[in-house]
Amino acid sequence: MIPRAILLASLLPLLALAQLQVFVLNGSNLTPVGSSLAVGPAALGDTVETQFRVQNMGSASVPLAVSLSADGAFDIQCTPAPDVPPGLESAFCVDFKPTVLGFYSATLSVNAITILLTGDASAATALTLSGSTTPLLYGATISFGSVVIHQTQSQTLILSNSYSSTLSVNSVTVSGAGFKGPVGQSFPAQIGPGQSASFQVLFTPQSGTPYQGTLSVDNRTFTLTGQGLDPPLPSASIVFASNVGSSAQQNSITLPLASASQVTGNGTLTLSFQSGVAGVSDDAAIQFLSGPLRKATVAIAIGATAATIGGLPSMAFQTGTTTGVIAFTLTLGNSPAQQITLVIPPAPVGLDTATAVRQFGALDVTFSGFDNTYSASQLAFTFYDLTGKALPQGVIDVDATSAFRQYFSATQAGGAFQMLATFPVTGNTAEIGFVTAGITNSAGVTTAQQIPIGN
Amino acid sequence: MKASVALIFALASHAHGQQAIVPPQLGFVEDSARSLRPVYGVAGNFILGSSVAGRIISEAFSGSVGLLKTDSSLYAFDSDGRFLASVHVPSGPALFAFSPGASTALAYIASNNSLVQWRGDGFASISLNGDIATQTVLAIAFPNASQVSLLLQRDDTIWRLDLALGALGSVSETALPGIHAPLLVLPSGDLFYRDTSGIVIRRPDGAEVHVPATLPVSLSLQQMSREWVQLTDLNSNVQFAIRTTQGREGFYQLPEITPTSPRLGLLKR
Repeated sequence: MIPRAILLASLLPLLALAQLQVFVLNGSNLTPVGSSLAVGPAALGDTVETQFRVQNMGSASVPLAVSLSADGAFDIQCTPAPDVPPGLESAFCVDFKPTVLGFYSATLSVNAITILLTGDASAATALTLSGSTTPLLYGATISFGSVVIHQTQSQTLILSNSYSSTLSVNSVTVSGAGFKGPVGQSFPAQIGPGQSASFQVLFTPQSGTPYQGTLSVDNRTFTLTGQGLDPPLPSASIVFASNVGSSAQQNSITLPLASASQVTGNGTLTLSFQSGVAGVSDDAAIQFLSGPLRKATVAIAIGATAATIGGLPSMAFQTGTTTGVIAFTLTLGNSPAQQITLVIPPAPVGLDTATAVRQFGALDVTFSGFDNTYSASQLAFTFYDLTGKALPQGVIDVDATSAFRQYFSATQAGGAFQMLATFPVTGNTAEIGFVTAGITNSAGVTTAQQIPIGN
Repeated sequence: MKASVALIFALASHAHGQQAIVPPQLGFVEDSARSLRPVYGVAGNFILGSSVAGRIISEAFSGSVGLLKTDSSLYAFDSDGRFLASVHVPSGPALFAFSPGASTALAYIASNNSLVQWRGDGFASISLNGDIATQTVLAIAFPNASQVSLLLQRDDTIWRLDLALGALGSVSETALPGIHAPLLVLPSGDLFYRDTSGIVIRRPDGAEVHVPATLPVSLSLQQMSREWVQLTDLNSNVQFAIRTTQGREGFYQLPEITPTSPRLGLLKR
């Protein structure tokens, strides 16, 4: 038994070795690493960082020991976890940061796995962003930030030569959708000692999504990033055809935009009514005249200078026959809702028609109109003969308060009403020429002058 | 002579079963779903009542009586939307005209070139001169009990052909230059037609009133009451109303009936 146990103990490192595998991470791709790995090249001052992943293929956790033979240019920057669980991986990184020109090598040990790292430090131009004095590191990200679609954001980059001899930049390329360049400098280019050359990279997103590209300067690559932004909808105004609020009116609304829209958008325009009459909650006649009564869809097309409402360039509405406040609320895209109101003030009774007709032994006087206060009360009639002289009865006053109150409490017609007043007549109705009628509500008195008596 | 009358006020005439105060009714319209609906309210504030009839092909209302045609029948109805009588007629559209007192009315059935008269208590058929069959009748008028007027399109000109109802002979023909279809003649004699910027009302004395309006390309005109005319956009669901009252003429849009519209009951009168 003892010799067999010794054999098993001697096999353990081999088993652990077989369980681990080292990969290098390039972007999102993992590539197995062999016995050697070249990093760089790097210019002086550059830092080339290599991301490693150590995967445990076995079924048991493996202690992890990572070390690097020191040569002054390579350095472990990200410390790995002490153990690699089964089926999982551990990460660490090695930076190559040469300080003098030349060829570098170092041995990376991952448990029993050894990898020869090599790096070449050559004279190269430094790449900096305009306005910055810090050279961009190898693989650094150049961000263009958020840019409204179809608009262009540029970044100016400067290649500078801090060496004592002329340097050549053979190739500068830009790849990736939305990115374009270099602009402003052709390559290959010679940059003398202490000299610099600048060029631009342009970012023009076509959609509201993240973008990524690559800038390559000879063998060095840099990541370009940017975010496309849908432009905001232009602000819209709510404009009435008439700003005068009164009952029994047809008005209309338009929604002009502050500028031509660069994007499509949609929203809603809702109408609500706050009655000013106690006990009256609504007036159904206050409504849009097309489509749904109180909620219209709003749409904005690219290039439009005004929104459509219910598919129309303007939306007609009627103001009803009840005093109160009509509110219009516009919700458009992600913009805060905006509201505008049209105040319908209390008004004396509005008479739409007034007629008087002779009946057998009677006169019928009929009004139609509206009382937006629902408070009609006193009626006053004065009859005149054919010569225009008032009849001896003078003014006939009638208190119609309860009749109107009863009507308004039950009607679905808002403040609109038609009233029939019948006057039994003793005598010849043909001698009566016209009648003048007055009607009082809480806002005033309305008089219908000289209503002719018809047959 | 001095008037010798005594006036006693009575707000309601209960003897006639009427309420003293009721919702004002402006007439009847045919909505975009081809239903007949009463219209209540005042100018600028319209309330459509519930449908009282459907599958309408043509309709008109005088203010006291109305005629409507379905595919196979002609009906008379009153101001409450109650049917008074009906008669079987050929399919197709009809044109209507009311007598000045609105006690009688005529319906022109285009498909068989015939007239049907509403006599207040029933319908009666009247034959027309066969020569009319080859012409396009745009509108009819019923100026008096013994005469019907047909407004005809002949080439580029509108003609008014007055026929005696009894003799069925041509009484007279009058060209109406400068007038374009569509047309409508009210019992008052007011003639409605369109021009480039709205509606023109030609009064019986020849005076014309222009009602400015942005009109649809294709439209039709129907009488909706004594002083209101319905204008229908034939290419959309939009309906308009024209007030014809002298001195208060106006052009308004009627509320559109949609599937989500509330069902207002027939307002109690």
